[in-house]
Amino acid sequence: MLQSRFQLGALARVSGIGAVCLVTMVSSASGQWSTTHEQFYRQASHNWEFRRGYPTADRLFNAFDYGHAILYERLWTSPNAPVSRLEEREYDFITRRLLVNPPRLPLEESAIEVEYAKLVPEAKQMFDWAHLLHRQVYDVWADERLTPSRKDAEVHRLLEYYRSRPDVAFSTRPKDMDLMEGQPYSLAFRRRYPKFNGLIWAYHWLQIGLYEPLVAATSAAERQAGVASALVRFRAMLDQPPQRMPKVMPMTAAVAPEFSRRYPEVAIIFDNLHAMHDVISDVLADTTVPRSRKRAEILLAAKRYRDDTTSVMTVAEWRSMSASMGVALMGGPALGGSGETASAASRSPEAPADHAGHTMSSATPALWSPELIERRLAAAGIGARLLPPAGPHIFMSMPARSYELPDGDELQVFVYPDSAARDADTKKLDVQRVAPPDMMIKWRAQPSMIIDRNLAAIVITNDEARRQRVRDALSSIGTAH
Amino acid sequence: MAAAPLSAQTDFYNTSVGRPLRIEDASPVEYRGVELDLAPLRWESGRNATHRWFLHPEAAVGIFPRTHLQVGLPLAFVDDQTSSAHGVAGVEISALHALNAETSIPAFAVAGDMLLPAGSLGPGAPYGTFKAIMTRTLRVARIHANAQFTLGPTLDENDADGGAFDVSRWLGGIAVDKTFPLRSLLLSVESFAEQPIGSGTSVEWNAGAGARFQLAPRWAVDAGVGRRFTGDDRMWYVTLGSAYALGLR
Repeated sequence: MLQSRFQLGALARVSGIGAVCLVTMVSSASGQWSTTHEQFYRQASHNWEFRRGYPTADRLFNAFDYGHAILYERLWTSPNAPVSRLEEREYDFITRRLLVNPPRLPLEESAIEVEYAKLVPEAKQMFDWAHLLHRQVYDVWADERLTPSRKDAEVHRLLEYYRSRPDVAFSTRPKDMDLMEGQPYSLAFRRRYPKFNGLIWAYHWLQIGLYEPLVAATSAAERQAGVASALVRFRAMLDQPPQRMPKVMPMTAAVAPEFSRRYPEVAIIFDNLHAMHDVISDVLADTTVPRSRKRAEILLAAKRYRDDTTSVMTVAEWRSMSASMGVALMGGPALGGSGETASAASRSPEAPADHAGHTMSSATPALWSPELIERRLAAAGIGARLLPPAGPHIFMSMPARSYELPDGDELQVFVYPDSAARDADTKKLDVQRVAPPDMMIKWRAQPSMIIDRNLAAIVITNDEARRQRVRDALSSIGTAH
Repeated sequence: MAAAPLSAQTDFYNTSVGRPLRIEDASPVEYRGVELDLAPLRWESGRNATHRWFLHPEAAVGIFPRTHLQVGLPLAFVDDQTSSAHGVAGVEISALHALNAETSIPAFAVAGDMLLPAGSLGPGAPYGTFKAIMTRTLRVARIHANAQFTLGPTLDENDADGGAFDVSRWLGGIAVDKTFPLRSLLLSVESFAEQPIGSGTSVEWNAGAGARFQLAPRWAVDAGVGRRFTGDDRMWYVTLGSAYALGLR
């Protein structure tokens, strides 16, 4: 009895001391107390089918995990390291060794991004949860025992399972680019590390692009061939970096349109996931965000990408934005595309009757495309740098695709599906003032409008010679250049 | 005893009692995960040519976020100079709850374990163990600290070596592990002290080393070796095990 009392007393004292230490520690760092948790992937008969059927692609994804993880770890732990550490040392290791001989198993990212994982375990958990969805959707479509309708049902079950974790699930509502490119820290990463950024976007292109042959093919052999072809195109992106890499974030609706039509919510989740990947890179790379604020900024961004209210757009706007960003700049559509990247396209400004990577037949009415506009500008010797998407336009029904011209001038272009769609917008405008009749707009410089077929463009400049050169470059699509 | 945590397809990264070492990390089996420790084997070689074999099948289920429940059925075979015995060495039911995810604050977990009297080599009375676990991850290694205290009757000298069950009045120790993520391999070393449950026994110091390796997305294997350097029952021990992961439907 005496011994039992002694045991209980000792236990109580130890517990008491432990509790006091714990409370003290927690109260002094309450902002760091995280209760996020892991959850097992949905158990199903299709588990690991993609690994069985497509081992080459599966192993590449293991290597991708390393790329993401080491990026965050280096940005967080070595903020003052020379650019070459990521752009050369890590990049070379990844592209010459890891992607050549990828790991056989999924990696434990916590052991690679050790300090980053401790900085924001909540964000890491969001990525892990979305990556499981990624992999499980591949599994469903790699499982040849399932009929297409069963696959649809399984993907919807996966989506339901994914959304059962609102604390870590990305929103199924599309978010505008303001979240990714309109923040004070935006673009910090890609400006400083263009090659590594291109590598990450190439990863993302393949991750979403692989769905398209899986979903669109009608036989197992066709699926195998489509996946193999996508892998070849991915590897080609890594030649002569960053020329052949994506120039803008690959959007699922543009790269994998059939997949996005079939599973728009899943596609939107992946776009939100990939956008947040970029946001975190920016927050970590931006020197104006103090280290003490990094966690808070990442958690704020994470919350915005989870909720269904912040910076949302309609699905139609998401599709339109994806198209207007230019699929060729994203690496091309996963199926049916030439695989030309933006730079490849801009190096050959020969045929104006070329649209989104496809050669148009003579029976097809000629239409403007972002690629054609860029070729025309390049051929006219007009330096035009694509600006990040800025969200909905103040009076047009679609977001502008904006270019920075010399001396801070700007060109906004709107590429519609056809002339009728363009006319529906421009007929409401006072084209002399470049504004709706009832709206007063203060422009930074004198605006003027160019309208042709499915194109509307606004040139904002006080340099009349430049205005005329842009007009000439964007003269009627039938004009030889 | 508490079980291995399960981190999706990287179970090798997470250690549990006996898999491969005595000191474990502060992660539970993940929510809705199931881990089957199918044939974990432990062999001990003590003084006087005594050998003990344990087969310790366990199943752990992530029943709540950050919480798992585990049931184990240790089987033992004891062989000494004059006799041998084999049988069930009790029934173990345990739970582990992680208090937090690691940030600038280490990861903490608490665990409770009940060893029930069952089988010919089981204890004569139930034993309840309370444990506190801490894990700190550094860039070079992870460090785990465990401290536990057991409630239950003290065995007198006549009983001390009679059973095969392994219970300490208290135990404290640390382990350090190094991960090789591209090889899905974990190497660990540990040192711990424990006070045996028997009366009149002295504190025992132990040290061990082990490895855990991911064979396939669902399947991890482990192996360890250790030595008890002090106390009344100095011995070598070797462990071998495997864990299979699946999820609740």
